[in-house]
Amino acid sequence: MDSKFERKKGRVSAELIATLILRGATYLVILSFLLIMGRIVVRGAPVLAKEGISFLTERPKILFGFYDENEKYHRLSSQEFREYQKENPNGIILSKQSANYSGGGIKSPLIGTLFLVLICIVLAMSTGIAAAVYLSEYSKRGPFIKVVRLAIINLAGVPSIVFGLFGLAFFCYFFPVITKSAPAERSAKAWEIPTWMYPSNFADEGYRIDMADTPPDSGSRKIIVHKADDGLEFSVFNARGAIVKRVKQYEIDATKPTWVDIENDLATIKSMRDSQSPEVFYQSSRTVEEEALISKLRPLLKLKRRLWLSFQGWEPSMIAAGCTLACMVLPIVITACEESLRAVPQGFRDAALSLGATQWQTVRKSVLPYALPGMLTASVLGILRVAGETAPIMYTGAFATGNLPWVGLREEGVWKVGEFFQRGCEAMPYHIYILSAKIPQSDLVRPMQDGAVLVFMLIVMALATTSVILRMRIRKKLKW
Amino acid sequence: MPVVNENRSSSEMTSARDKNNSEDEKLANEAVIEVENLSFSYDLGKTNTLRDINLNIPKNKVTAFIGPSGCGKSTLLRCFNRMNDTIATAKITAGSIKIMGSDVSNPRVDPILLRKEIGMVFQKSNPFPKSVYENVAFGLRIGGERNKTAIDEIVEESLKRAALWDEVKDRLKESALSLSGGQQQRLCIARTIAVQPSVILMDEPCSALDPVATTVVEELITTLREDYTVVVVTHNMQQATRVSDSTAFFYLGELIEYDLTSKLFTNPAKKQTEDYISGRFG
Repeated sequence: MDSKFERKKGRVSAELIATLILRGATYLVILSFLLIMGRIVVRGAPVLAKEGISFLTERPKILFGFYDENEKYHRLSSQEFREYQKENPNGIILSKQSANYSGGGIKSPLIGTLFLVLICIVLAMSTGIAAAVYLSEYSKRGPFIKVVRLAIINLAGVPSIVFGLFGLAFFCYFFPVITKSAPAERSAKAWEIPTWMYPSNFADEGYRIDMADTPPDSGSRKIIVHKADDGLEFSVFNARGAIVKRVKQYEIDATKPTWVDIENDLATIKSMRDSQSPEVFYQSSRTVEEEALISKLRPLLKLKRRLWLSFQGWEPSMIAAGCTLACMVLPIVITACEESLRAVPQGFRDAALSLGATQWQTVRKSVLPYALPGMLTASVLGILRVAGETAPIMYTGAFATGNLPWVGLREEGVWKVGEFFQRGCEAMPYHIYILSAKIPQSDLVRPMQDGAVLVFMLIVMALATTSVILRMRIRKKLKW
Repeated sequence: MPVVNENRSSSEMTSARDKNNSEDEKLANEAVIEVENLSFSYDLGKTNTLRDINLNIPKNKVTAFIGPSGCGKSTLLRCFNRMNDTIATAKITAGSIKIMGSDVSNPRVDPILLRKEIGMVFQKSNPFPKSVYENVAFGLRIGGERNKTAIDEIVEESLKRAALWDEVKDRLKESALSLSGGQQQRLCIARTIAVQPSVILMDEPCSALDPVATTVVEELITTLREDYTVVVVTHNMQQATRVSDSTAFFYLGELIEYDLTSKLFTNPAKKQTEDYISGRFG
């Protein structure tokens, strides 16, 4: 070929190399995705198939692995193991191994993650929407707003572990809280709240009378009465099972009621208690007799209801973890909300203002209603992504526990909602971290790791996909 | 008839205006909006977008503001109902605007009350994505009107006044966005009328409409003068001749000429006006 348009040799190869490199990089993305997903699916799917739905509905349990006398290998969760022992009282158990959290399922981390995300959504949305409305509808351009915007941008770039440590320092150990028990030692500053400020329905602490000599379980307030050499002794325990007060009979000037009264009352309660099985008794709420005795004892033992405002934080708890996550997603939420507000045509605002609407009426009647759907979806889906974060929660509220967060909260027939949020919980990413890094590794743990990772991946991917689809739909709809 | 403070840029001219003759006196009494030596800036006084504007807008007449883009006609319009308040750096740097005798550039003026008296119709029709009925009732509802029959009455009256009732009376519950462009713009006019203002400002009300819809809206504007004082900003000089009684020509932030429409378009006093209306620039 002898054309002036003939391809030069050298150029072709340069072109080829460039194409290959660029294409290779693109394929690498797919390859790594396939490798990660493939490995997780190949290893996790059989576990899910074998365990079935119980993998999602059972709490994590201890798993035992052992050989029986026929050299058959058994993998049994703690409960199954007990049953096995009952059925085979004479069975031989060889080279028994056990691993924490490796039996049962992943119910409690799933539920914990759900609650963390819910708390985070409520907090981040309320703050984020308010801030976005202010920034987009009220604020006038100026140096202060520039600083605010800079802060939002920078907040989005803060590494998650920094949020975790911040949450630990601020929400767990510094945030002002109202507490019923005396301020903790770490409290930076505490004031006792004067009685007149207490809510009228402020509930009684709910002490229960007990005659056992053993200290009460944590989570119940008790007055334990026992016979000492010099008469009765009263020990008052707080919810954490610590003695807050110990009073000897002779220390109290008790003309009314007389000690005979109290001893009679105690005898009544004791006989009632004896007539019931302990389980039944503790499930029932305080009896009338107990109520009466406690109200007699209250002035004697000075069981005053007190509240403090204390800068001591919530300790690692769901609320602290939720707040930390909320701080972390706040920039995402504010940005998403502002975007939705911007999508509302300026004409709506102009029209409302020109008709004599105040700024607030304009926002409430002709901006927010049209921005809200977009705000909600965009920010909820932005928030859902933090379901996968480990660092912010590992110090602030995630616990390695198989327990569900509400266990033991029904005290004396009443759900203690406030205390619920002050408890830690297990969460999916933290559970996986524990399974793979914090407990001794063995073949017993592996199936649980694989299954948990697969479920987690599926959830996160489903959320991400929904977020993309919904956002596209909303963008289409947002044309006026 | 309404005339006319010509553009006076020097204090000498202003003092000349003080020696007003009896005809000017009469005008001042009729004027709904009196603009005196007004200068306005969008950037806190660094540059003035409007410079030393003087004009009186007569009651129950249609006044047109014409001029090339960026000449400040819409800015002046937005000064009347303080819509420029939404811009943080916007500021009246000199002079005053009196509406029905009271100064509205004063910071103590409540723009909310002012805007109920001075309605505005925008360039792009901007009905809310609500029903036709709710659009017209919007101003009443935010004004705190709760009485349903009263709202019903005013909605019907306003739609009739905006020459839209016959077209929409059977679809009051339908979305306003289902109306045609011209109907939407008339709906916006009805929405403005429902608040019962005395002045209606229109910022290029027909620029987004086709010729047929434009004719309908223009006819509406000419009938509106019976009850309202109307100020129309327009790019379209034919439109100004069709709808307005007097016309103000703005150029580069200054009021070049303000006169009866018939006079300004047939016998302009200023060379710039002549050049503009004959299409030599702008």
